[in-house]
Amino acid sequence: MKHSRSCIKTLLFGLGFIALPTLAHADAWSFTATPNTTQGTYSSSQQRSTFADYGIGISADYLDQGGIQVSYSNTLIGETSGLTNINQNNYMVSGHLNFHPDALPGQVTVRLDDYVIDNNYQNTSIQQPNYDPTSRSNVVATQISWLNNDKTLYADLGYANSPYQGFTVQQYTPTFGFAFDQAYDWLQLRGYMISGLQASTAGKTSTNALETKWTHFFVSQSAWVPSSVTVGITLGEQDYAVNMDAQQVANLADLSQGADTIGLNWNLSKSTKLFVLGGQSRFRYVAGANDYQLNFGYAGLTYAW
Amino acid sequence: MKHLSLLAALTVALMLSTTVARADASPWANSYQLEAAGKYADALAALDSIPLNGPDAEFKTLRSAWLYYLQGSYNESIREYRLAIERNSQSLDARLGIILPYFAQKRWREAEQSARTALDFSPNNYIGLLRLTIAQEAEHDWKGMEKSATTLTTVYPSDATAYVYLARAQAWLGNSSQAAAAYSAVLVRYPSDLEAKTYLSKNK
Repeated sequence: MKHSRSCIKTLLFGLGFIALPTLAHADAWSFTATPNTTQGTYSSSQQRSTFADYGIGISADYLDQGGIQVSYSNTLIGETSGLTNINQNNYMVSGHLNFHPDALPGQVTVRLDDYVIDNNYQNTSIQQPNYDPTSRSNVVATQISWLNNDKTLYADLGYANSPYQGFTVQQYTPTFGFAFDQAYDWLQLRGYMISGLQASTAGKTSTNALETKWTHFFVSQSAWVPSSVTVGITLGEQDYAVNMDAQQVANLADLSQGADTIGLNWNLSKSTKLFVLGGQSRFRYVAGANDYQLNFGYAGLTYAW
Repeated sequence: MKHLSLLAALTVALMLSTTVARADASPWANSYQLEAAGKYADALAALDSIPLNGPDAEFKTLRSAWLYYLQGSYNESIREYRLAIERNSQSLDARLGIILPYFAQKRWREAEQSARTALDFSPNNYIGLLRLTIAQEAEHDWKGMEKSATTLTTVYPSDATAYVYLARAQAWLGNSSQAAAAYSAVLVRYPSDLEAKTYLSKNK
């Protein structure tokens, strides 16, 4: 039972770096680098006390045609009851290509992500300490999306395959988004349909959830006024979810029972942006009948050149 | 009855003469007439008989690119403009033209890059500067837009459009007094400009 404690929620944020063909013009490539951190504390948990993640992401985009991202982060989860703290490395490579079909005005993007997770709970038998069937994985996620030319309508369909020791989780994520209030507001709805779960840890073999994000954009010349605020609410249940917006893989065995977040984005200058996010995720350690929460804050500073 | 027969004969004669005239007209003339009538696909088809390796081949490519653009076939338009650039790497026409389908597809970075390349060939070219400014506005690159629009107003000081873009850039940058000055310059050159009037009335 205690071994399920070693599962981790992994946060991976974009990173990118690249070397590609000769350029027609120096401005053809644009780059960003985003150092970031997430800090959190667990409440009511029988197993965990703190969450800390430090990472960096780098992206490179070629004109409007596509791009690549790479990222690395290290996650440390403080355990209670004398258990070994969980120390996990998270790697991610992502590539996307954009298409502009005349028959479907707008931009169609095909994306492929690869997430590699590796932590210190790698004993392979439940009889041993520090056993965790989800301590290593190579998660592949793909997505096809469409955004209309006026950037007022968006749809995507995502699929993720997460192989863990002894079982494989599959996830489908249909998404729809639209602008309103003269495009000062944006609403996005994403369904999470996850199957292939282990009933012993999740209490079920499949879960469904709906993630809703509302974003309001501000117009201000002041760098101190946020350029946007985003409120997110997730209803339903998720387990081993892959979030392709945040580029996160959750290899936490415990059942996610929803989350509330609020994020603020500042355009500090033409080349520098600050994004901060705060929120609470709710989980259930099914076997231990323990409902607990993770209260967290994220900050990422993006520099573009 | 006699009048009707005469009218019918005249009508038939007129139709025949029109047909003969069309058959005699050059593919170019036909294409221009069809474009003017809004029949862009037909205007493009009218160019089919022009050889791809003849003396008019480059112009055929440029005109095809334009007609594809007009009918909303933006990818074909881009392809033809690229062919025109391959055929004649000095072609400013092609380098400026390709910006239009990029605009239509909202590919602002590619539009900006194409405008910059055109300006490398012909610094201070009006269309190049204007399209660069438009792309920068779409990318919310207010500093870059201010710089391009300032160049436009310096090189083309009689142009009201140049001052409109300069005013917009200043307004987005929060320089209200400079935006007002630029909008005032617009009204000197084009007294009925609604955008300038609206801004100045709200920012007295």
